[in-house]
Amino acid sequence: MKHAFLAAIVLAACCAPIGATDLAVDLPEDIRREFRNPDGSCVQCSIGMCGVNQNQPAAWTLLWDTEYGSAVRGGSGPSRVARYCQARNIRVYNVTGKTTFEWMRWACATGRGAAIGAGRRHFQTLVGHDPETNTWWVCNNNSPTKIDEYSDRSFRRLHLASGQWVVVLDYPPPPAMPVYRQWWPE
Amino acid sequence: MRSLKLNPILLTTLAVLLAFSAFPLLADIDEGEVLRLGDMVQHVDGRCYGQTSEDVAIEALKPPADDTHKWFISVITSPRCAGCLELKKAWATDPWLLALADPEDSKASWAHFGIYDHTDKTQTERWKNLKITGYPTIVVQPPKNGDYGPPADVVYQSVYCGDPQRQAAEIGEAIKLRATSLAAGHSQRAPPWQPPSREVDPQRLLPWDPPAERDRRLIPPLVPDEVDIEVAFPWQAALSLLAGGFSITAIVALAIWLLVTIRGWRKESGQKLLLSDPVFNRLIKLLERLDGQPDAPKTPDPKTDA
Repeated sequence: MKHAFLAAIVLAACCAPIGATDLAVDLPEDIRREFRNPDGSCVQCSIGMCGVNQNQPAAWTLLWDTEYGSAVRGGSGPSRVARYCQARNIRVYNVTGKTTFEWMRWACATGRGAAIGAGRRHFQTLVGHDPETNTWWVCNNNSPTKIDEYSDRSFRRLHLASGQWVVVLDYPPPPAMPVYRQWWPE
Repeated sequence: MRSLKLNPILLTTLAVLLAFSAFPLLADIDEGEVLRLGDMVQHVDGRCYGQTSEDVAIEALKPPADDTHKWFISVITSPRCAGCLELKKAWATDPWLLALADPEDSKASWAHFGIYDHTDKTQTERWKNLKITGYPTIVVQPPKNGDYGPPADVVYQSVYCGDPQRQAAEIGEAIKLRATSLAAGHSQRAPPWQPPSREVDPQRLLPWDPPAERDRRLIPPLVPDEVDIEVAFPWQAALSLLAGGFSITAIVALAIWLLVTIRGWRKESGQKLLLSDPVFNRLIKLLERLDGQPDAPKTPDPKTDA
């Protein structure tokens, strides 16, 4: 009985999803829902989620007409991203080629997240990576209310299927959600 | 000519195939361009677009340095707040505030710095735990790497005081207090085991006498020749003689004591001994057997005593 209880605890710990505080991009579901891909704008949707995470209105408003610029819709390649980011004064690292995995690990470790090629002709938002288990978490803008979990192998397959291209916003990461706790001496 | 009869199953299959073949056109990225570019990092920063040389591009392939050691300073503002504008201006020019965070140069900045508009719905969730009493509110939190405790802790929260230097000093004091309280917390934590004392206090020394020879050395065991027989005065035997009269046991015990004592005196005074040590030891053992006592000088057996 005791062993069964312990086994259940271990199993639950192993199967539990990553804690919300561990994700680099930790957006509430109602925010993510607004970045559902309506018309092949997956790159802008993915960059938009990173824009909310890093508090960059010029980035998160890409899909709509605002004072930061006209809506950017439809498919994109690296040069189009460079052009509209330049036009809207959005600082980004626009990375292609074999270093993309290194950049994605860096982006998650520093709390930034990234817009990444994921799946055939598709872009998604990388929201977390656990270096210990090499597990990756991705939010697909075709189903933005859920976070998909990938093993390293399946994530590599996912990323390579699109061609190695990632976009990381060159802004500070957000702070952790603040909590009040008495840490100072009485 | 036969009229063309449309098969509904065939039509449905064709419709499904058409829908799936059209799908990639909806969610499109320019894969060809990704492949053509190869290994490249383009840093779009609004200043040098289109001027990046090949060498710079190669150097830029690496991700930037880890910045998880930086503290977080967040300013929560309100759109119609004059103090917020004043603080933004101060943070762009005042050396005291710039020493903490440089809003224009996030890489050179000592801390990560962010300005948040409280009316921005995309950021409402982030600050839901805070009690905001006025604007602009400055919030300081520890670095992400955990060197200064949980990154979620609010280390400092205050509405801007209006004086950049005083404001910067207050933030600095809060960070110092956080660092010192963590350090104090570490030193107060007891070790799992008490380490040996480095200093010897002579006042606390216990009296010490060297143990008897046969108790002192265990390995290798002492041979009988090396053992000096020590026999205490047999008080019990003497008393029993006085009280109860003649007793072989008491006589033997007294005899052993007398022989050992006389031999001890002779040894100390350097006189010639009548018997060698092995012979004397055998004699004592013989007398003890008459007495029914076990062997007096017991040599420890390392196999059983250890």
